[in-house]
Amino acid sequence: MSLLCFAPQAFGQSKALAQGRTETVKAKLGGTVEVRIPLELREGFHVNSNTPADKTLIPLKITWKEGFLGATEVIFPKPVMEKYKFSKDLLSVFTGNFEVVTKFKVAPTAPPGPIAINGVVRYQACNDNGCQFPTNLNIAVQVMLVR
Amino acid sequence: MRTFLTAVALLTLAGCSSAPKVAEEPLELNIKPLAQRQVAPKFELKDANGKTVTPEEYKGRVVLLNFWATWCVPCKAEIPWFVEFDQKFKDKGFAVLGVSMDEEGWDVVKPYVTERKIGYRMVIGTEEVSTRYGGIDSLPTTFIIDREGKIAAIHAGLVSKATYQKEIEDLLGDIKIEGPKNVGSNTNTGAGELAMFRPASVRTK
Repeated sequence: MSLLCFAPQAFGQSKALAQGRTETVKAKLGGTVEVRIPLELREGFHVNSNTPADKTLIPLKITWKEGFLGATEVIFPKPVMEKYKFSKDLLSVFTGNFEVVTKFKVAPTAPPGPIAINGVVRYQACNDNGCQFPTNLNIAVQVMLVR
Repeated sequence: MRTFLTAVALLTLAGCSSAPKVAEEPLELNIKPLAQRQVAPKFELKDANGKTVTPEEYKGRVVLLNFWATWCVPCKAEIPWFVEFDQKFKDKGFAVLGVSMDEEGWDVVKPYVTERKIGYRMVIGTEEVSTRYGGIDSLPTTFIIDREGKIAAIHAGLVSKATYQKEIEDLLGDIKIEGPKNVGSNTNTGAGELAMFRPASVRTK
């Protein structure tokens, strides 16, 4: 078997998206809580928004693991309509640093104290020159549950 | 006067074209000297008709091997060029082979190919083939393979239409680009033998 080996120069090698510093939030048992997830894109990159115009494009999506906190709504920022040299159409994207908000319902039976909620951001990033493969970013938020 | 008006009309039409601007960008020629070219790694993949495709069957032809995916917008920009090249140069011994890296396979690729009237041959890529070709981690990535079945140029990312066309024409014309004589063997024969490539057209941001 023969193999070709690139020098590590290709832009697809490291993830384009990262979770920014996320504050611990306080929530009451049986109540609701709103969590802000800061997401940071590498310079020069963009990701498809949650509502790309073209059905072949992969939207940014967030899923949360089930637990004592159940996600009831995910609120995305307003997408930016950008023009890139490789497309004649404007693309619906997120760029730079942006925040996604999720509302959670807290189970009344949850134990008081700190708890972590974990989720996954599915995204597909490109720069002016090419695209990375669709990938997942694991995200986590600390919540302090109180009576 | 008529010539002048025709020229003005053509220039106006060119200016109004909706094609992405990248087609007009300067040349980024990347053809390796003969001595530095390495044999394109082997693979066996199925085309849309279930027929096995191997690089060996293309020996004697110049091949544009394009790794792409339906979700890749820059790839979409290149496809019409490749359709054009396939038609324009096929009688001179040229072929385009698309390797889709879509996880969903033919379910998404077949409708895409039909809708866009992509006439050249297509296969569905695998992780193994990606690894053999240096670990394709961004799209588009395109290999231009010479008549000997050796990789003459690699482009990771989008380059201009003119770049591809010039490289194809040069290879079809058998223009020899001699390299330094002290370069080692340019064939891959043994298992695990690694050939180090660095695509000049890779641009990081």
